[in-house]
Amino acid sequence: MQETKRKLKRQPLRAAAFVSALILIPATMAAGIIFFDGRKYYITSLLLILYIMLPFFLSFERRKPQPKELAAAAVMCAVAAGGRIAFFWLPQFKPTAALIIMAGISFGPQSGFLLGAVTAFVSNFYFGQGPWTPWQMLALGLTGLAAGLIFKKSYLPDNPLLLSLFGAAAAIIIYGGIVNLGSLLISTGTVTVRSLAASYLAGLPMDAVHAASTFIFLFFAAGPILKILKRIKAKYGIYV
Amino acid sequence: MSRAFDSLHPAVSFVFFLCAVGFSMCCMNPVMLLISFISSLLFLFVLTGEKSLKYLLFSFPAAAAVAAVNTAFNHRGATILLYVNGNPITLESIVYGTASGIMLMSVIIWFACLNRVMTSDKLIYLFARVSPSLSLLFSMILRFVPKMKRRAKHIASAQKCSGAAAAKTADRIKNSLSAVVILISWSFEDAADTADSMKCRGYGLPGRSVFYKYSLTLKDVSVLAAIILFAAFSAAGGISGAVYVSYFPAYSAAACGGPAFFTYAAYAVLLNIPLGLCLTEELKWCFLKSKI
Amino acid sequence: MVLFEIKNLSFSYPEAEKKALDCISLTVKEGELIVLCGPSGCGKTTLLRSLKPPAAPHGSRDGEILYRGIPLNEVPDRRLAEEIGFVFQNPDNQIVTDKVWHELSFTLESLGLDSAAIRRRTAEMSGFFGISGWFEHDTADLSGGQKQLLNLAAAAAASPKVLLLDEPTAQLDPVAAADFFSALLRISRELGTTVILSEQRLEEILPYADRAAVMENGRIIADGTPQAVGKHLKESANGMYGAMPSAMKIYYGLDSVGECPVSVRDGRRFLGEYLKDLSNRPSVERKKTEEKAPAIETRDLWFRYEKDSPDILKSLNLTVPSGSFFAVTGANGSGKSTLLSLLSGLLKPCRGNIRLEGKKISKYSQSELYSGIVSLLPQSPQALFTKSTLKEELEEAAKARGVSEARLDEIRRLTDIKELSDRHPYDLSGGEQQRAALAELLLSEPRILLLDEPTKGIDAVYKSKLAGIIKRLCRNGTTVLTVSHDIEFCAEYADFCAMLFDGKIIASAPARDFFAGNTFYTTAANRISRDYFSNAVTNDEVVELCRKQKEN
Repeated sequence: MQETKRKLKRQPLRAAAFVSALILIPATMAAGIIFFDGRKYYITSLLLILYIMLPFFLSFERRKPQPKELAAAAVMCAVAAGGRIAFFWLPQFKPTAALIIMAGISFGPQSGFLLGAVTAFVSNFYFGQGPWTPWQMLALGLTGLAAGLIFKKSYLPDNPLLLSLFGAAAAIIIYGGIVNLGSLLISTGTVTVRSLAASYLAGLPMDAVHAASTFIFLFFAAGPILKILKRIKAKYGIYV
Repeated sequence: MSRAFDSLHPAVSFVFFLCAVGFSMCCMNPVMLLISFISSLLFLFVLTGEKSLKYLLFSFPAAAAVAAVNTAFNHRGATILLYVNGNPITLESIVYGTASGIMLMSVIIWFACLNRVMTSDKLIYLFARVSPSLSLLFSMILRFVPKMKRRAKHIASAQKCSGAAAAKTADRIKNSLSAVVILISWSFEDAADTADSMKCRGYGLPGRSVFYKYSLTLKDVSVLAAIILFAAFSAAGGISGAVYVSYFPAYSAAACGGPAFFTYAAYAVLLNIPLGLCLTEELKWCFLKSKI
Repeated sequence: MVLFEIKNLSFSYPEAEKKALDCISLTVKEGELIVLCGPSGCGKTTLLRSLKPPAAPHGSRDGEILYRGIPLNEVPDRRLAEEIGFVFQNPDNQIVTDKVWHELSFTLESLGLDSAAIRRRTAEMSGFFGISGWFEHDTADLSGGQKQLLNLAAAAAASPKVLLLDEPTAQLDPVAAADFFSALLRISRELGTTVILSEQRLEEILPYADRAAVMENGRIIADGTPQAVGKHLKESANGMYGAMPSAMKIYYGLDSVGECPVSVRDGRRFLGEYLKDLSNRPSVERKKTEEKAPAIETRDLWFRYEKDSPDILKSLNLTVPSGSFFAVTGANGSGKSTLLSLLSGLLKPCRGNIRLEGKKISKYSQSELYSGIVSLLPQSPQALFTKSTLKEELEEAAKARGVSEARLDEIRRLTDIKELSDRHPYDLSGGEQQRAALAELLLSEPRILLLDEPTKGIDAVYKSKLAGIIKRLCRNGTTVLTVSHDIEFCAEYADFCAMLFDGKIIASAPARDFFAGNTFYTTAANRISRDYFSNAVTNDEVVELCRKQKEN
């Protein structure tokens, strides 16, 4: 009973947040075109990212998370941000996206987004914040969100190959797509079809490595990890 | 020397950096760009000493890349220098690219300063006012990450010594993967204790307060006032078009008159407030020491 | 004034056949310091957790607990947070935030105090506990002892009426444990806070307890002053008697009159009385153990982590005879773990060489080294477990190393883990996990076994089981080297002992002679008897010498 009540409490706030975002977005774009000079696309897009992320953060705050939820979320993000060290001998290997995908599958799209965005932010605590931070947050957040929406089941998907392929695709299309767009906007302030294409092409080698590491990680480790997360959900009493 | 700025209330530093980065990104006027670039470099030097040169070198390739990208894709401009693959390379786009490069370098250096000044303590404090649960989550993650790193190393060594052979790369990957699996499993078990600890300490009781470690002093308020004042002047100058430039089709700037200089001055003062604070502190110390 | 009144409390975990708590009745008066003791699994943790509802386990409960006259589950949450503090066993897991000051203020924030009040209270706490020096530090940079002290301070921050502590020093080294106890005793004495703690380290804390309660199988089998409890345990020949302080055991080993001593000081006084006619200084005859060829040998070993960091090991020379049980002791931070990492081939020395079984360690290939030469049992056995049941874990490991089913069975028998096969490794107790990890390591048939602090947080029963396994391995020719803080364990069971200090091995001798030669770093029995006997190290030796004296 308590759990269903808490789940329902989330909806009206999210709805309100989205509506206000829908009003804010066009308003900001208009303001951007009128006021901002050379970097209008960058600043407008920055604000858009903020509007997209805000409802998720707000609903997290409103939910008044229980200690167990906070602890579980903190562990998940910390492993995603710091787990890279297990692969210190292979510096290009990044398990972060794979872990966020699994978080999204186990804990749902909303949590997936939140955990992704927070992980990206915290990772930058160590590597240094920069103008690319909001883009990385959005990219990782949407990866988690997409995983949660597409793989609605919380147990091991029948086909680990499918999951791994999704992971590889997400790394290139979602993560690479957003981060490369961000880099372009940061450096040139405007987007043209050709510059966008060039930006994606330039980013392809890194995205490919990212996709490969995500694929490998999901293919071999998704089974055991999703099982662990299932056990944790039951033990902690976290309902999605 | 940087303690003069470090000791300011986080909200004040945050507002400063917001202005610094925000204005740097908004304005393409070459004088403004140079002011931003030089101020950021000076401040970084005060904060990190010789390491600032490393940052400078680091950001160079990025800036060069930006200039190149702009040149390659931006074909607006009146003065065509040459044709590459049928695309015109114009002088204006090279100039614009270089300007963009300098802007990017300034932004990167401002962020480097921000990373140095805004420690995790201060960022979490700022968040705590706005979103206490989120800031607690950050605090917990920052607490866990070093633990995870240490633990991952511990697991890797334990696995190695237990005879789980690791000759080929494939095996090493498998071992690292199982290390992450163990890491997750183990850390979640421990996190149950952390959650219990939170509950025992009363987390979840209604009326939770936030411990505000920082309080606004007179110095904070006056610095903040100065920042807002000069930011307002700079913004006014920017909006009124006094420092407006356009690179395309040919370089043209607004009249170089009083308002322009005024804006430049206000901008320079704004961006050098921290530097000023640090230098005044240094001078004060030298003065006091000489009195002994 | 009665603080807690527990009446016929029974509790069982879901799906458990046995009761975890069976008709427990206990009264706790204000200001008392009560020590709960008992073997692993007797219900101490369950009982303590039941006294603080947010930490209480889920299951079926019977009987009642009254807190200051009110049923515990009717006490408002706020009062519970304010008046009852809890310190858990693992120092690391309890820490929630990333900064020391935040940890201290956490409870106060939950209670809704304003910033000024919090600032004042945390300043007070820091002063009282001596934390002021590390107020601004990251919690990640603290040592185990500092962390546990921080947890104590955080629990005490709200000025609780009672502090519950679940084996708080189990994971700490002796020095940190002593610091912790002295802080705890200050709270108890100077603030009058009621303290209920469960402990294995009875030697240090029992002398200060007002009462002791012994638990077994969910029941309280003895409850009274430490002396009364000791008498009861001795008379009923209970296994827990083995955990009692040395002074008590020596007293009961002889036919003694007068009050039973509990602390080392009391023990010395007692012995002084008992041996007041002693004229000479008898000593224990020990037979010389035959020293075999060295299995581990290091010569002029130097190591540091970075080019600019200080040397951890400086010209370290160590010789470990084959088939022996060798213990290396030393203070926290002296480099014991580094030494183990070097001996196991995880780190390479900067200078000097290491020989295992006569061959230089660098001459072994990685796979050779770990499939039959050396194995390392880590401090936390959890680092090895990948599967969800012990059976799967061992079977997979056996398959990977080409070990037969028969040999696996033998190893299971040796390490006494047959009944644990279907359990999840993380659900096992500390001692069980360790034996399971040991079993996994033994699958590689190592000639040299390295143990990193094997007795941390393990109770007396498991310690003797572990010692039995080690002895059996040594008899079969395996060399066992352990790094340990546990003086009593090393004195009782090790063949040889060495001390690591300032990067060198500064003393190495047969175990008992080693401890007999120390003044501070030695067993309680030795400290009690050193004025009278020159080299008695264990309780049995003291008793034997006393008896011999009386016969003369």
